[in-house]
Amino acid sequence: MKNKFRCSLVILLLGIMFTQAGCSSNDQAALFSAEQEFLTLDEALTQAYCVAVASVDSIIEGDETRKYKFSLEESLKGEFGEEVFYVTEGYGEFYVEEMDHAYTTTESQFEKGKRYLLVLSKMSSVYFEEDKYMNVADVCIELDENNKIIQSKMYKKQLENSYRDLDGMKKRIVEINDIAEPVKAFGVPFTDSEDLTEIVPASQYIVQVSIESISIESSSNRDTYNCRVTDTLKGETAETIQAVLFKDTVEIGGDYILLLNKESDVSLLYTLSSKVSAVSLSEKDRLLSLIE
Amino acid sequence: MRILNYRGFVVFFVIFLILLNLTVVYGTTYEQLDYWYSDSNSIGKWYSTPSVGSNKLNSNSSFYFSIGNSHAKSQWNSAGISTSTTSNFSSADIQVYGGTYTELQNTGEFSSMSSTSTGICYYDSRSFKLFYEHESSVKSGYEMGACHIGIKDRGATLNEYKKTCTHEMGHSLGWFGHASGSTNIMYAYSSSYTSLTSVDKNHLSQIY
Repeated sequence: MKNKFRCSLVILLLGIMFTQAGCSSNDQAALFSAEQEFLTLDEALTQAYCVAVASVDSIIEGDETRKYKFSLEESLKGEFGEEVFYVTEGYGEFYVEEMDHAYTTTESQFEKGKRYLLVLSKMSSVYFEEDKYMNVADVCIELDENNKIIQSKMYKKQLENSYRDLDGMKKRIVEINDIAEPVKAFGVPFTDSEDLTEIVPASQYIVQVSIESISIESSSNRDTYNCRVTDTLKGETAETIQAVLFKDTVEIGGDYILLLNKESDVSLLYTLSSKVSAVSLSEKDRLLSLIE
Repeated sequence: MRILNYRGFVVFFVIFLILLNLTVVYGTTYEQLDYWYSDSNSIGKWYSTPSVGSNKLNSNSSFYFSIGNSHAKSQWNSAGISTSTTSNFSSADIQVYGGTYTELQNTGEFSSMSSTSTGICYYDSRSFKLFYEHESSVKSGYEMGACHIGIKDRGATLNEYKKTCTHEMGHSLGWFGHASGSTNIMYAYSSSYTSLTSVDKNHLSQIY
């Protein structure tokens, strides 16, 4: 009897699933639509934080982004902290200006086990578990075991005419490295330390605040709060600021001390200078002594 | 008393499913559309006036984010698609962020954005609502839900920001895909045009 009940339940669930599928659209919906600047391959190589030959170990599908785990074979530009790194891409549609070139990342761009020449940007953030690498443009250059270019998407003609193979690319990258300034990673400085004696000198701003409201509730590990500054221990800020704090580490109406940085003088978004999200007011005297 | 044995239940349920699917497939009436200018087969509609909130993440005076946003709202309003403005950003149906790549990334809302993106529109919640038909071609109609837009501070001109803001707002109002002519705001690629054309307007306003 129990088995019959379970079978009935399974049939019922399958029935609901099929019915739902029948009622919905067949479109493979992208999560976003983005317009992109067009870069020549030379510009992409110049603007990239790093260029490398690497192979895909695995592909990890997430809710909002896909991550490729790459094993580094050879770094041609920039520095990688580790031999294994992750490249992130979202599930969306991209439209490249001036080129009338469109591409989608709802399906994966790279295939497991294959070798690619990667042209990447890098972003470091206190909110990330690891540095985030992303394609600078629609660069997806697949290489065979003899370093011949098999597939190259948007830059096919340029590659065929100018670079031909990996050796040609390497020569060009050396030329670019010689004349171009090193590219900085995106991000606001922070320290990995959780020791206040090291966090204080790494913080441009140390302020006592009252948390007034959430201004940006994100789907990630952090929210942005509207904060009223009640005392300034280091640096100068406006009376109210927007600070990005880890989720569930503060309460609305609560008073805290925040140790912060921001990207530039004109930025209105303050970010944490370490993974220590908010400090209790009981630490104020200690912080003041460390500032002095 | 057992009214239905197990086998009877399964047969009854299978017949029920077949009838339900036949109703969905053959019982659906399609709303007719006069225009279709998109390369997508989908279109969206807000069933109540969406509120728009904007959040400029820096004070760079040559980043014409606010002007671009106001322009976008008035352009779509002229097409008969109205939006309201809210100062409560976190509760806005359409949240428009303006900032550098790093600032946008730090909010946690633009994890998929690449460094060369100039504008991006995320469809946070849209749901299938009905089918439309245009010249014997069936189109999917969605009910729009929350969206968020990112406009990158990239040292562009005032007109380029106006175009980017109006274009992204078009997506958030339900204009999925892109138009083919380069004078249209919903053309996918760069241009210096800042005003909606009849193509931009008619495609979307016909379902509002």
